[in-house]
Amino acid sequence: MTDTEQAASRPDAPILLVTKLHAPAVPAQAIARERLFERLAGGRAQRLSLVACPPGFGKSTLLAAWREIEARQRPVAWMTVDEGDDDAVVLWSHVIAALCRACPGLPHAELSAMAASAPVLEVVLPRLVNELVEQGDVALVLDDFHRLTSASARDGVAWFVEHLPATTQLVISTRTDPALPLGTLRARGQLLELRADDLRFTGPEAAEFLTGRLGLELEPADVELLVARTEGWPAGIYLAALSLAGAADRHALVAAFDGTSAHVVDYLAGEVLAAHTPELQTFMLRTSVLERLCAPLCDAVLEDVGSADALALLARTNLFLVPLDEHRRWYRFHHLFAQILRVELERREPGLAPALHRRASAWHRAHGTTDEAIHHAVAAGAFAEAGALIAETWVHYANAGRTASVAEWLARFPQDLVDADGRLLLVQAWVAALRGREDEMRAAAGRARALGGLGDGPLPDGFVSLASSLSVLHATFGWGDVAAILEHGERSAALEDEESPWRPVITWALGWAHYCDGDLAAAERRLRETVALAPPVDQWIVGVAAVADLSLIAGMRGDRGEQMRLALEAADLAREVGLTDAVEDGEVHTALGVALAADGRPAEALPALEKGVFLRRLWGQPLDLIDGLLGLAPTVAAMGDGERAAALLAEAEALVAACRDPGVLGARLAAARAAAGLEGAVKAAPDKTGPGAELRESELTILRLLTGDLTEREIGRELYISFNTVHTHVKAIYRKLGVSSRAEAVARARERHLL
Amino acid sequence: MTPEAHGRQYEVVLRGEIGDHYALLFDGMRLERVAGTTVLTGPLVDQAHLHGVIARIQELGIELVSVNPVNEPRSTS
Repeated sequence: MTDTEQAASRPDAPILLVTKLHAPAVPAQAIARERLFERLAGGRAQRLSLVACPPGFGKSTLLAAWREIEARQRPVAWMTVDEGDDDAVVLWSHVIAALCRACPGLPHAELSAMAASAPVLEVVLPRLVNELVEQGDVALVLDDFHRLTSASARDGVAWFVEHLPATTQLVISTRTDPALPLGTLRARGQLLELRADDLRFTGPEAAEFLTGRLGLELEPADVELLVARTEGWPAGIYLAALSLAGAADRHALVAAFDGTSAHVVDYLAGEVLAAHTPELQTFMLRTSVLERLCAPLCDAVLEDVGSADALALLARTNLFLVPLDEHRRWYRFHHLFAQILRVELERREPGLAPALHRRASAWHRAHGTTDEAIHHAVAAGAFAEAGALIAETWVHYANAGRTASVAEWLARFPQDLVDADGRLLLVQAWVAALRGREDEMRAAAGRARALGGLGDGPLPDGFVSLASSLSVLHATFGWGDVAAILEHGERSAALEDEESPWRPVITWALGWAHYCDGDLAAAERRLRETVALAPPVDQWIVGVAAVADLSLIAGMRGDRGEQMRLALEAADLAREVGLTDAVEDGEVHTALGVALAADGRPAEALPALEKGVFLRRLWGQPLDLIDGLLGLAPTVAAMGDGERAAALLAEAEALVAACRDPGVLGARLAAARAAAGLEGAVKAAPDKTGPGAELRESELTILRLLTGDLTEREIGRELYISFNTVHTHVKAIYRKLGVSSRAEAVARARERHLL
Repeated sequence: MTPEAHGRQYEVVLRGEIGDHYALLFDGMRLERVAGTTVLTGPLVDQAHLHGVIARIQELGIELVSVNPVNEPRSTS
């Protein structure tokens, strides 16, 4: 296996770092700490096992050794947490991958696809917990948990701790007490704690390590001195051992160490480095800027060859170089040791670190590990390179549900640099919109517009210009304004040609807006285009949505067979590309539910309709949620819960009222009330623009033209008025007639003898 | 940023005596060794700066004894 793998069947899924799923190999020199193993095994009966102490106390080594023993009796999953896991999608993708490696019985493909697309707290975690109940005895180790700092990631873990089945033992190692309800767990006797004092080396442990394992043959009195001087701190004892190994007079060294008031780290760092050749010292110092090391990466950073030999030598002789995989391809320095090396690097070669980071960034970029390329570029202060990488790759991360990662990268930029870069402002706006944050999106988009240079392009994410990115953004995210979607969508369609990877997003946005606007023919045309264009450019979110929307339209036309066929096709396609639980594609469930309801199967329809509303609520777009509520309410009423149906419609009504332009969704709301048998519950709108009001002369003129084949644009040309004016009239016609489509409008007008 | 937050003086006491070259981790702070402890003194711009300094101390496995704001900037002798 390579060091990275695709997380799911979904295209552009985030890559998993497999090295995070390996327990560090237990060094041959490590002692077996039986007293601690026993206590950890006792944690089986607790809800949480916590190993909390500062760096250098041997947390990871202890847990890795315990894992080896424990794995003989039950599966033990391992995951090393890092800063990337602050994105909940990344965190849970890795937890799931770790558990699935340990327990082959878990449905890996299904769970990992879900992790990349479904809401974490509401869908992913409950499902995972259910699977773990089935699984039986298992332990999960989350090492370096302190690196998790985001509230969303922590909330997920807190929920997980609270809901884990008794057969799952969760073991967390951390430098700082985690923001979990430890007090409550402690009071209930559900917490096993191992803390610094538990992990300190005892005299006999130090003797076994120094003499038994390392063969240093120290006098018992010297061992005692070392333990006293380091206070049993394992890293201190190990640093001492490294310098003792090269010393001619060991007793003298121990005595000198004991006689100085210098800090353990400070005193021993110098000694340890001095025990290596100058070449190896330089190797360690310069590669200390890397979070993880492999020979080709080290060669690139050092602009030299021979790193493989240096790594192999260090791996044999230095416990602070930790192998990350069984092939001994990737390593990392122990965090504490890396810190010591970085201080020394800055002292010996001041100002060199940024150049090293820059080379590391280039290597990662060439090898497709974009996260780390961006990390090193930012560390090098090379914001131009980091910005270029983000502008180029954000779409892949967003498509994989990793919008939080992109937001976090940008957060590490100085704000004035982001504000001066239209591309990055646009990325910020897109990511905010995808996360349902309208104000943030508008603020970033506004700054981009104010910055100017909108004609600049093409952009690395496939847009022809900044103006086009802005336009497609506003078309995709209408926030309840159908006219705005149409306006921006038409402009976008003029900017991005048929070959553009964004074309299917634009055609979908237009199709969706026409659907909301009751122009079913135009909607179908745009949605069919989307269905054809989306797969070749991997735009699956809109590709799936378009099929679902076409099903809804077939239903409105009364074509039951086509409606059901398309609904099932959308559901299958969503499953195939891992979007079944995606908040972006809630209409898949709404469409299936509406088709089932139309087929007279309300009991089967209900769960699908509920799920549609649930996902669309999380997506944050009002038009989508209204559409979902209008689908759900009649079936809820049909199942006998008139009160809830009325509440759902009241919610839809409030949303419609808040929309700048809800299209015909207001008329569809009235129709849904009728279908649910609830029309008596509200008073008919008395205003003269509402349903039942008389049509004005200009509207009658347009109504007559609506009986023909002309599109709204063509009607505009015929009457020498703008498309927008035609469109406004058409909407007024639909509203007054209480219909939601052109065909219905013509039929209703004929009934009323208006034609 | 409020004026008093900018460059407020702090005194950070660490257990053990560490060498002068560690001062570069705590840029802008003066490093003194006093009877088995190390005292860092200097301006910390804001809370993020303070937490960054504490994190670096922890990463090195150094024990933090105390953190105190200093009202009067020390006179340099």
